[in-house]
Amino acid sequence: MKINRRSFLKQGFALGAAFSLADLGGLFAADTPETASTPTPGTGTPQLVAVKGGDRVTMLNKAMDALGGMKAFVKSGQTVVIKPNIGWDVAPDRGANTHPELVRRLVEMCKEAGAKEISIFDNTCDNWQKAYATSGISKVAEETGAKLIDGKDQSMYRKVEIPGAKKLKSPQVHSLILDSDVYINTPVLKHHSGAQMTACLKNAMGVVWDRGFWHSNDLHQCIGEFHLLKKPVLNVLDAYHPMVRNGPRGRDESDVVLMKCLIVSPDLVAADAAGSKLLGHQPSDIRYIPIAAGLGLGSMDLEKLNIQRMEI
Amino acid sequence: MRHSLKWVKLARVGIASIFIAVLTVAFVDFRQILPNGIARLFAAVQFVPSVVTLVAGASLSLACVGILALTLLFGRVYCSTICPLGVLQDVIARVAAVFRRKKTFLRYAPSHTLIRQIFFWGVITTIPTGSAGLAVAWLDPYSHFGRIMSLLVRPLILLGNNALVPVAEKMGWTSFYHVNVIWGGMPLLTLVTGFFLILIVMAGLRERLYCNTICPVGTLLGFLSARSFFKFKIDLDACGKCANCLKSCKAQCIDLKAGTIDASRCVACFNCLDSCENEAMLFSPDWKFSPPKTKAKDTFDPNRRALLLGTAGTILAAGAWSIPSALRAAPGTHAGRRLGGKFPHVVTPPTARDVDSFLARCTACQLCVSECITSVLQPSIFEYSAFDFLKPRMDFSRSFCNYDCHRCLEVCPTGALIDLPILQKQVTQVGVSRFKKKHCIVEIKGTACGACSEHCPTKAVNTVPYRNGLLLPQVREELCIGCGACEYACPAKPKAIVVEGLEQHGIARREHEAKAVNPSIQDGFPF
Repeated sequence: MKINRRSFLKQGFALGAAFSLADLGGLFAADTPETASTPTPGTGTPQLVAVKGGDRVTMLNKAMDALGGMKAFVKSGQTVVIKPNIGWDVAPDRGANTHPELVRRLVEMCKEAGAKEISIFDNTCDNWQKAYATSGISKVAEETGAKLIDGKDQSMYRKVEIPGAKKLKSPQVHSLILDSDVYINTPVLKHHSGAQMTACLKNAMGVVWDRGFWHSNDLHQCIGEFHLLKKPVLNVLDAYHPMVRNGPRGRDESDVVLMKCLIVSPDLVAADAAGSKLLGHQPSDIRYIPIAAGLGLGSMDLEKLNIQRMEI
Repeated sequence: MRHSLKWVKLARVGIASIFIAVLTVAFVDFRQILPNGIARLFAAVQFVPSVVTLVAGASLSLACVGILALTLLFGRVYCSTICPLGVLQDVIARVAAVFRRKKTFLRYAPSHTLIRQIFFWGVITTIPTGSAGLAVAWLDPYSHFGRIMSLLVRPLILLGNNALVPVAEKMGWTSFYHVNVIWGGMPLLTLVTGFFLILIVMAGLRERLYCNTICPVGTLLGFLSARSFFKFKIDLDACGKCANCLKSCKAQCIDLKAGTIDASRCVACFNCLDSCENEAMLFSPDWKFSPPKTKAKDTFDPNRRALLLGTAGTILAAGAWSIPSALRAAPGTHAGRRLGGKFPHVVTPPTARDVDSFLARCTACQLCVSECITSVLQPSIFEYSAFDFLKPRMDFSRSFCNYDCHRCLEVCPTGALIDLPILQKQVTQVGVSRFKKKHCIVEIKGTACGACSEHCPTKAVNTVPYRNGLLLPQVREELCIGCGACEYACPAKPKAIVVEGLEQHGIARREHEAKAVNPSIQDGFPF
């Protein structure tokens, strides 16, 4: 298991400090399709890509091709943090964690795009060593050379202010999220017994130190507000076999349904809106989605988005 | 033959080094490098854990029988090789010798027979009363060693690791990470430190004095050792009275003036044999009782001795006989002072039995605490009772029991925890979650939470529709195993969900559901 704890604390601390008060997502906005002028549906770079019917790697390759390749998001020499959901000490087939093959392909793509350093972490719910190992993520890190960081080391979290937040005013956020050049969010789509659903927006609960604060101070509001601080530049939502009940940990393989689906978007609100539909909800049913849309963090109106749908 | 026995000391040092090294690693191994089987093996061959296991019928642990046989053959080799506390004293004595300004050596000293007897009988007489736990736990040398390592040495090792992390990063070593250092409570640290200081002082000044006064295992094995087949003996014709043997002796048991060796105190370290230049120290078959010299004049009376022995044997047998029944005491015997009574929130590791049996078998060695991957197992202070000081409990304020882990069960050397297969551990109900709606965030604040059900591995805690589209936790007790994940995760203060420990562990139902169906459309995209 490759563990490196502090490299990001050192490099880019000044950068992080300078920008931690502002929306860091804007730093590289010019390079991402996120802020490109909204194209008319059907033309230009899509705002959301949904792929169905292939294996995870094929679907990711297709989706990224449609979005202009990983080079559109990761520039040569940049530092990248990939945030999968590795919350549970549960095997990949149970659908509780992001599938390791998806993470592996993402790491490879970032490497191909010339990333200087690629880190992976999660503030896990189960014991982190076990969750990293059982999820298959530590093997991916070992084999690809990505750095797997212990998300349970409090010294790596920094307290930051979120301007405009009503509830989540000053969370302790992992320095990798604050300091990395590129933040890639790659959650797994699941049922959630508290928030109904977990996907891109809720995955941010694994980048802060004190999740309990979110739970006890209007969970949905906090999930939305966190992204006023920083949004991922790319969201890769693993919906290959979503857990449709007993989430987010699940009990056994009977809880997952094979959908063979992948949603990729620079807009995490849009990705969650699409994810909610896959789980049979309306985006407005999942309270944090309209909250996030209301905060101007993205669009939940799938009708108005330029979506590229692909079936393999 | 005389010459050929010099290798024995070397072998003794080798074996002793392996035992103390493996057991030290077992107790400080925060990276779980040591395989569970190895940790357990080295702990289970210790005398007291083996006796507890055998007598309690937990398994056919014949290590203690082997040790008794070994002692009857060769003397107290156990004390110089297998026993980690014995070897630790050798280490302490070595270190003390370095710091001693004047090079001195220990002279022959008469046996402190009375002290030995008090401690030994103190332990034995507690067995039939059913309160052997305290005495056995506190005087078992292995458990004593475990507590020193786990409570005192381990935190220092962890601090060392944490200090190394930044250095390692600078050097480009990638395998170091920060670990949480957990100190036991002040009462625990004070007590264990106190015992350790006694040991340090005794070993620093008089080497194996502890083994020959306080240690009941030393006394029992000494009793057999005095009757062992092979014995050390001074060949008075060859002896040049150089006193090399005396200087090398840790037990002060060589009386060079009289030319005798007190075999009951000899820990069979073979130093004397190695040090003798005239080869006058013999180790040869001699099945004859060698009486210890006491301070008083020679008051040895064979008849009185035989009587004492007979009594001892009878009580020992009676005690041993009564342990199983004491261990299998009906649950609820101690209901007034234990679970369900004064301390309803004490939760033991999974035993699939009752808490009293667990406490009776546990010697508080801290091996399970040391090996626990989530640190949910912590030494108790007064949670069980003052008699069960330091026995492990689940501390859900710190962590919770990992559903797919049964490491504590795999390492326990005494049978206090049975090595249940993981599938059985996963249904062993050590407690039941109680939901207190009046403290719940959903109820108080009217906002979503679900942290408890989120963490529940069995879905004993799920959420059901509540007012305003909210989801409220609900506990299905028959599915709950008492792992504490819900209690740990609950953000409410006070906790809205707490695990109540069960005095008699139950079996939870493992729920199976039909394969889930796709909530959305099969073909194409729903958007």
